[in-house]
Amino acid sequence: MSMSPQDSIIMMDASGCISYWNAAAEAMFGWCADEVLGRDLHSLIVPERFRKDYETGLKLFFQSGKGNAIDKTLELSGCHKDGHEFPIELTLGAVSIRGEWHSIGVVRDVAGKRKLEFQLLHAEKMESVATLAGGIAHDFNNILSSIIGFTELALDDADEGTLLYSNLQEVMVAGNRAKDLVRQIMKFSRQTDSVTEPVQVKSVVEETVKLIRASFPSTIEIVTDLKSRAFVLADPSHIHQIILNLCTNAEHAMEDSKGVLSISLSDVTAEEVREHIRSDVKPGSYIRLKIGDTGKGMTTEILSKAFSPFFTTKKQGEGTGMGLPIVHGIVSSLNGFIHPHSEPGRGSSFDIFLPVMEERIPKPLRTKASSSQGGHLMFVDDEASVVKIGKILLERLGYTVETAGGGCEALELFKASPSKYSLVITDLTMPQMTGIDLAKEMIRVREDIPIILCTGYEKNHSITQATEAGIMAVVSKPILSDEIAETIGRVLNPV
Amino acid sequence: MADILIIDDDIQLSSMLKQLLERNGYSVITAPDGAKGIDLYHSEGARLIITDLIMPVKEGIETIAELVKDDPNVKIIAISGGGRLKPDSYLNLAETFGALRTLTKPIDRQALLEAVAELLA
Repeated sequence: MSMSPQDSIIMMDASGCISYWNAAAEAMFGWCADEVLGRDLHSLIVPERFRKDYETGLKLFFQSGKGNAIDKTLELSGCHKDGHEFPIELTLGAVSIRGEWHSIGVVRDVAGKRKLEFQLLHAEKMESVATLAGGIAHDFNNILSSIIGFTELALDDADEGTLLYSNLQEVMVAGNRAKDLVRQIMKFSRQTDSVTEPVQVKSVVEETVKLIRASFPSTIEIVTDLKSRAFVLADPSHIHQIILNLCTNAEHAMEDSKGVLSISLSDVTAEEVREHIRSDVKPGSYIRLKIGDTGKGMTTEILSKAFSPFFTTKKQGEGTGMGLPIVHGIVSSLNGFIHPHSEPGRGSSFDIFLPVMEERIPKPLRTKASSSQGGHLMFVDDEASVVKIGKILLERLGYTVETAGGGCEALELFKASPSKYSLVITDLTMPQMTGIDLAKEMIRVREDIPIILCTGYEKNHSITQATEAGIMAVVSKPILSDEIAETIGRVLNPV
Repeated sequence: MADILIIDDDIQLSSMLKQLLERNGYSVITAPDGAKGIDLYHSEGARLIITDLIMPVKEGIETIAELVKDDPNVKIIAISGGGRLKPDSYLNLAETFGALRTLTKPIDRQALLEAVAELLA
């Protein structure tokens, strides 16, 4: 372990008392050197529940200078003067002085590191759940088609008023509930194609608050403090959803009692966020949307699960457990983050930080079919119908499109004037030459030619191969206008 | 010639649709992917085609484009449960390439029966 000025250095003499205590130790544990020198080390900084274990180890150490912890770095809990515990890393060494065993320890406070690790793990977990959810939603829609469809057929044959009929109706009800849930999951996994545009968060909040005032019980007071007029690049309905989901949870937390729902907006800089909330934010300006309630609050344990899909504290049938996961999904897709805070009995608050648009851009940034990009593209596929589809789609996006029905033809066209093309889009599976081989040949002719590969339903394993060949992006068939426009934009104008 | 050709890789779903449509008086044939569907359309014929969009071998948009190229008057209903994007994105594309009606999965049976009746009237 390398040393830093924040590391505490503590020495213990042969009677278990503190013989050295540096300034970092004073800051970390809250005790001044004067207060602790000569006092029993373990009763001061080891949480009480671990002290028994230490005593046994210490006896062995004083006799032999050996012990489980010597010459190792261990992860333990330290105890502060005020009683609170915090995670530490301890590296311990033994020193023999005049035949007696003393020890020297270097202690590092790793609370920040633990928190970051936890955040990272959580982010990865959410990402994989989103991917998984997107993948299964399609299959679920197929499965539900069969469940609902066959049940309807069976209902046709059953006599009304019989137990069979009413049981089948229950299957229908369950099927419809599942249908709604799949829709929610697709929202969470950001599978809905939305239109992003400059949105003034303030105006969406005001609109949503009107709606909430009308539907919330009068025992709940709604207080707003909307200072920021900043714009973010988002789908307005997504911002609406964030506010609505958080307010609905707040209402639930203040159920059966009086309370205050507070909604505030303010401008913050990345530096302020770094100082108070988290250290890894990108530079720039942020808008902070804070939604707080004075309800029953959550324990740390419940709060740690609150963003997991399907976790709910509501009664069965009242909540899907998708409210906060959806908020999380939207906020992440906007490159923002959430800072939740809750205390049992006192209430909860959710701080949402979203990056602000640097300047007001009058038109939506999204590449729409009508916006003309210009440029000369080559589209290669062995299926004539696909070539036709590709040509129409790309021409609508404003590109001039040359087509080829196979790798050899494409290569010939390309060799004739390599500098003419700003991009090549090619199918993977073609009879004479695969898209990957074609890409390799083209890159040999012109090193910087951007190439996008299209693959069918079953060919996802080729992505690694494609990347190795120098292909810049892979899209799945069927080719969708919005998706290919976005991919072309990304390939031609990397951020 | 059959009334309806169903093209879907979900065999259970196409068997459900077949039963539903047969009960409503239509004759139905089925195929598990776009390529087999087009072959079956050429060998047996059908007055209406109902096709899924995301399928192996030959996906639905290609299938629709090919069918429309052979016969601009072919009647097609496209159905989809979505994939990487929500179903509407795929279905809009299907309409662009010649599908006359589109339905999202899970399929609403009333909407399907109405669309079929209208197109076969």
